[in-house]
Amino acid sequence: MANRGTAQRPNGSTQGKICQFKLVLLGESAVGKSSLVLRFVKGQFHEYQESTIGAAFLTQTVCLDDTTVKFEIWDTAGQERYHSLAPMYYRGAQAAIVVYDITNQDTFVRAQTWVKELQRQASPSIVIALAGNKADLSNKRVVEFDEAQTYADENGLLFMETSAKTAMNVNDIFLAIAKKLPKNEQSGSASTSGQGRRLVETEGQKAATGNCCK
Amino acid sequence: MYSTKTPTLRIDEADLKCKNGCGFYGNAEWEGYCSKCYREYLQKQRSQTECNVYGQGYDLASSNKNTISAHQKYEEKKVQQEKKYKLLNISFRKPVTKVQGYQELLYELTKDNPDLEKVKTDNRDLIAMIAKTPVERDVRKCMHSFIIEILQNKDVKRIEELSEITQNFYQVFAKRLENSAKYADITPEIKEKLLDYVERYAMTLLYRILFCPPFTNDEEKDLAIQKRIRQLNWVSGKNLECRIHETSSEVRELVYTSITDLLNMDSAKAPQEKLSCVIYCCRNIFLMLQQSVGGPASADEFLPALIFIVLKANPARLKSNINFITRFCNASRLMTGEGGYYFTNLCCAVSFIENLTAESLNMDEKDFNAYMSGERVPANTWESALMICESLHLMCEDITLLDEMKAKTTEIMTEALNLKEKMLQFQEEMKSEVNMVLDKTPLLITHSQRLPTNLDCEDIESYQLPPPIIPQVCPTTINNSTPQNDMRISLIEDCITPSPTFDFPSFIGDDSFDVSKAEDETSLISLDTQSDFDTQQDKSTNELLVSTHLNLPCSTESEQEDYHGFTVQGSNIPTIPCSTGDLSLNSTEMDCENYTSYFHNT
Repeated sequence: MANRGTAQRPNGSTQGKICQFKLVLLGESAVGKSSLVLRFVKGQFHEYQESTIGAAFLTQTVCLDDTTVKFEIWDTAGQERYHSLAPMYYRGAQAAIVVYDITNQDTFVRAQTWVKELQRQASPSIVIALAGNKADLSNKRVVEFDEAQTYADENGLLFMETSAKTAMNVNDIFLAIAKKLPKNEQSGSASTSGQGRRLVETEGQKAATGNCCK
Repeated sequence: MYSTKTPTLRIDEADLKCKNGCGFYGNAEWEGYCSKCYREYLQKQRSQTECNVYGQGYDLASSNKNTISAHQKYEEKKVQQEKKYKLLNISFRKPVTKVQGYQELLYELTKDNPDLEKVKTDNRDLIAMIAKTPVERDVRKCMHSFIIEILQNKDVKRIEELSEITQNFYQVFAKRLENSAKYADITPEIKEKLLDYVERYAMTLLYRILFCPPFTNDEEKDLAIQKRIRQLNWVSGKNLECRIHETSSEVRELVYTSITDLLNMDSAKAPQEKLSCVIYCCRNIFLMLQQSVGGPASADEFLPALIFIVLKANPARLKSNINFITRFCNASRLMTGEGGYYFTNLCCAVSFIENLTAESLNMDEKDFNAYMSGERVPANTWESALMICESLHLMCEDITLLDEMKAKTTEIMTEALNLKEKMLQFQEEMKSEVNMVLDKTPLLITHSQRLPTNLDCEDIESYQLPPPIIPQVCPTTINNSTPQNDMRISLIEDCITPSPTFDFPSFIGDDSFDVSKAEDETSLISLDTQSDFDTQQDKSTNELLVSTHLNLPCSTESEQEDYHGFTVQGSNIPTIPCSTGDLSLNSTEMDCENYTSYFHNT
């Protein structure tokens, strides 16, 4: 759901729309989910600053033509034992990045289950991107690019091989998602019924709709 | 009142009679009254009870209603913390308030509510800003109608419906803030604050009604999760694979802080306050993980740590709190933002705990069951530090402190040894160096160059010496050296031991005194008491000069002629005449006059 908090704002600051999206990161643990986000949000890899205390919840703004897209990135625990909790995280999310490690076949298999689950359970309009991370370790590659690309095409996913270490394709994948997300208001759509549809709180303002999320 | 009138166990004749003293026999079943008097008494008491129902005496009346259902619960809760018991007891009393109309209930809720006062004081600025404006009236009106709606419906509708009413109210009120003309000249920031304030105020007011209401099964769920967590108290960080350095005191401190934050959730009233407790707790967990992981923690590390904290904290009425937040917190807050994320994680943690199996802890089914039934108790360092006793914990801390001190002492010792070694080395080096130098330049007393002098014998060399120098006064030298004191001092010394620079013979008997000479003469004659060291020095020099040449001619005429010379030296030196002893008195007087006249002129 694209949510806009700007349209009716009376006091200016309305040039260009501001859309806020909730993006969920899914994938096996240690595939580099948080590294990917840290690279995207802070431009860091390993050389962490003191101010970054956590990489589980981060926000980043991307400018796209006349629209400002604000990503609210929710990291999820990748361990198998927490798998059943995932629906609580991707409930109401407008985008998801499923991350796998190109040097590890299992993570790719796992990614496919994530995709299947998202398609079945998450909001139907959710934009799903597949990211083959650790592309800098191509000499240890196990998952072939073409294989993943074919899978992505079949399932209508965005696909890129990324590297949090070299920053390859990191910004690009988020930009591609931002482009694909619907930016016109679709409030009250049936797709999110019972899943807590709501409008957005941007920095200083929030307009609430929707019912209780539980 | 009931118990005080119960008859005592001492039974005598008088006790058997009716208490009213009507003469008939009383009965213990009728509280010592006869049947007639008992009926009267009962009627009186009934009316009294009705009067007291809202006052002090309603404890018994209310507990009567709940005895059967509540008693079992009460027994269960007895084992719980005292605090929790007290809070739960409030909910038993609630049915009593049913008797009242919602107006009275509202009055009761509003009156003397310290939490409500706190909300007001926290938002003092905001209230002051909108005071006595149409905005204030409108906010009040909206809030009042909402509160009344909830109060009217509280016994009629299910909690889900009440929650919907609340969420609708938030939504409608937010829309009103956006669109209504009354709020046109209010900035979005203030609107945001207003929305927050309305939510906080209304929820604090309705807390007693909406939090863990008796018509839901929240309380049972609370007890279930509490029991579950207590059963799981053997679960350690290792079971959850969470990376907490339990031995580090800093990490431990953060664990305690986050546990406290989570426990605070129960004492907060408004949903957003409860939510901020969760946020504080989670931020502390991240800080803790940062220490253990050595970088920003991801969800992979965060969720297990949160589960661990929830297990160790076992917060009071966890389910009620979570339900209260989900039902009555502005939904927009729960779905987005940091608060939303952390709250989702908390819900996940609770759900994980509820559905926890041997598999989810990666352990053997048999072991799991043994631990769950309490057959086996794992030795857990954390548990001992957290639960068993404070002194043990203190001891652990002391041990770590001692260890640190020991390490420091060892360091100091090694440093001291190093220093000692260095000193010895230095000594050795010095020794060898000195020896080297000594070797290079052996200390030998060579034959003296000078021959012992025999004063009595004729010195041949003395004949070869140049003839003695005749002392001379060199006028130019004196003139040049006047500004330089040390030069002069050296000159004085030279004067004493006559040196070739002074050409005395040429000075004596010279008719034409030049300026410098005149100066010398004048300063010589007139001593200045106020003069500084410079002039003192000047004089002493000149005195000495004079004393070496007592036969100097003293020409007053020339002084007068060349008087302006004094100005060159410094006219700002006031002088008083003083006898130099060696010079004639009249010349002194003359000089004195000269000076005074000079000063008058200038």
